Amino acid sequence: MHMSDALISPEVGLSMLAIAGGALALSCRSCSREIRSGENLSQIPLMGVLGAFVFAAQMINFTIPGTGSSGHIAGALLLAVLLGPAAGFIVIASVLLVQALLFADGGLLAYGANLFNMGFIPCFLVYPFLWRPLISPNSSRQRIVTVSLVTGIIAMTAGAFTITVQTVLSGITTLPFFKFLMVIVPIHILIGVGEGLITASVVLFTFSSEGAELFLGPKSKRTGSRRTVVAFAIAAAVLAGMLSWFASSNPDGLEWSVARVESTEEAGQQPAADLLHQKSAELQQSTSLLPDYQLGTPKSTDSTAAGSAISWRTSAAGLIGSALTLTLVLLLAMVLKMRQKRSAVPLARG
Amino acid sequence: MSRLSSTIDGWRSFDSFAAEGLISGLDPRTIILSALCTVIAMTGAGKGEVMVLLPLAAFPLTLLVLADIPPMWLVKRILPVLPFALMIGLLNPWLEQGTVTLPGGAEISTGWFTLASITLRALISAATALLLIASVGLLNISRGLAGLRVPALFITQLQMLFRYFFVIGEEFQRMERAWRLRSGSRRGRMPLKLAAQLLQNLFLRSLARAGRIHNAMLARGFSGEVPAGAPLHWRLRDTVWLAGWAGFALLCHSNLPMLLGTLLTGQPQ
Repeated sequence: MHMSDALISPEVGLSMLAIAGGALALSCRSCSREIRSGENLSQIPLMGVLGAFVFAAQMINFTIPGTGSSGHIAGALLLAVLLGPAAGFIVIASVLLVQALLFADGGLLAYGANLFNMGFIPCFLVYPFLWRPLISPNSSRQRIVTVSLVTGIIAMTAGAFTITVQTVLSGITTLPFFKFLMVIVPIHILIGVGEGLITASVVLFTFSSEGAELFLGPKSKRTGSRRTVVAFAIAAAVLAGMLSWFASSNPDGLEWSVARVESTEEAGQQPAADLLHQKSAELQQSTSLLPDYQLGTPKSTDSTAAGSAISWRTSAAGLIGSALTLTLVLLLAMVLKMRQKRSAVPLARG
Repeated sequence: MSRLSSTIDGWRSFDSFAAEGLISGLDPRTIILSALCTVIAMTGAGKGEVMVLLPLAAFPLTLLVLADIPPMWLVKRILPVLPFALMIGLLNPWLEQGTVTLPGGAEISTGWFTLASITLRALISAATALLLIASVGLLNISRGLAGLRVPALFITQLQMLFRYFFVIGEEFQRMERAWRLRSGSRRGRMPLKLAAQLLQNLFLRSLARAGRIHNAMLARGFSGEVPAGAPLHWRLRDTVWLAGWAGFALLCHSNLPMLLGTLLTGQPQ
């Protein structure tokens, strides 16, 4: 399941974009070095074709055994096994970007979060720390199926967990952490079963036709582990730097939600907020259309009043303003379009 | 039509819009950056905000008008995106304890504003992403990303994915169609075991295809670098477009509707 732009805050979105982008840049650097040295020239068409393979495979909805629902393969674990973690991560990053643009799955700002949940976790955590150490060229079919099944479930569930954390940290919706987790995790465990079984099936088939040594050589293990450590170091640095900066000025989503509900019920009994928070609240008050709703301070002086009244005139001013803004921009677009149609020669391409 | 078939057809329709319209005269980097400004301004709006978000719809609407894209085409593609956001948003009216008194005197949960805000965010973000690719085109997006210093290997991977999706996708479409014609299934869901078997076959065919493509590339002098295509040129109109939309996003963040409305009606905030 994709994290959506509708539920993410800029702080969380940009932080995740920085982490996933950093991991992507490192992966590209490492793979490019190998390709330039001529050691792995066939990797480029292989990555492209396997990207197309995973993209097409995601279009097939299979029945989740024992339930009435259906799911589709995510493919990152399979790509990590077949191409190695770095190349697998680059391929899944390209697939997720095309999905974000072509199907609007997730959105532009949530791309980093989705790449982390569906690419970074399977490629840099689950594959090098679980799948790879547990599988050797001599592993039995049963072992490959069991390990792929368990790691598929872990990768999916971990992704669902991070979606929940990102949503709650963003604070756009008031869904309590554990309730959200209870909604989202069970279905991801079931999808993980399908993911694990299909991964095992394709891996077994490939091992038998191409040879397991090709995919399980000593190099893939070493490269994966080293890159994971580097990616982790960057992720930790970015998280420590960016998130703590945002955290200092705003409480996290869960605290924010709780504080808002409490302040609606017990206005006037709140302890004074810190200076930065107070300033941001004042700014929000001055720019917000529904300031009372935003900050949870009832307009009425009666502290027992549960709600807050919205001024008719304020609403009308906001509505008129919105309509005017949209009309102005659209008029401008129409004028530009008319000018373009009148012009015999279209604007030259850059 | 299966999801795979509709995706292949849908993907073709994307590139048909990109060649026309005023947008094609702009540098792809300009459109990517202005779309990002819009999305960041949208996500930066406070929880439950509706009015601040409304003017931001102007960006996707402008792309729609300038790129000559039929509105129904957009509506059909946006609808499948809404369920996840709605699923998360629908619980808010019951979970939130605060209430708001409407001008008519009715009292409703603040959660309805949160739901409306989440729905509006989902619509604006989906429309922006879809119209970005429809108005600029897939290959131009990758050129724009390359111009924004995205690693060359990732750009090559994107271009390879664009090119070979049709080849691999159509191969899989034939396999899926053969199953559909013989299975009698109307639900479009494939048994897990059969899905695994089909993917095994498709995977082997894909590996063989990759080998043939590699040989063809080597025969044409491939040395690890894929030609980048014509260089991009940043012009004055690109600066004007980007500055305009970045300024607009900033104004929307400062509640532009309220400022304009106050100016027109003379009502203080």
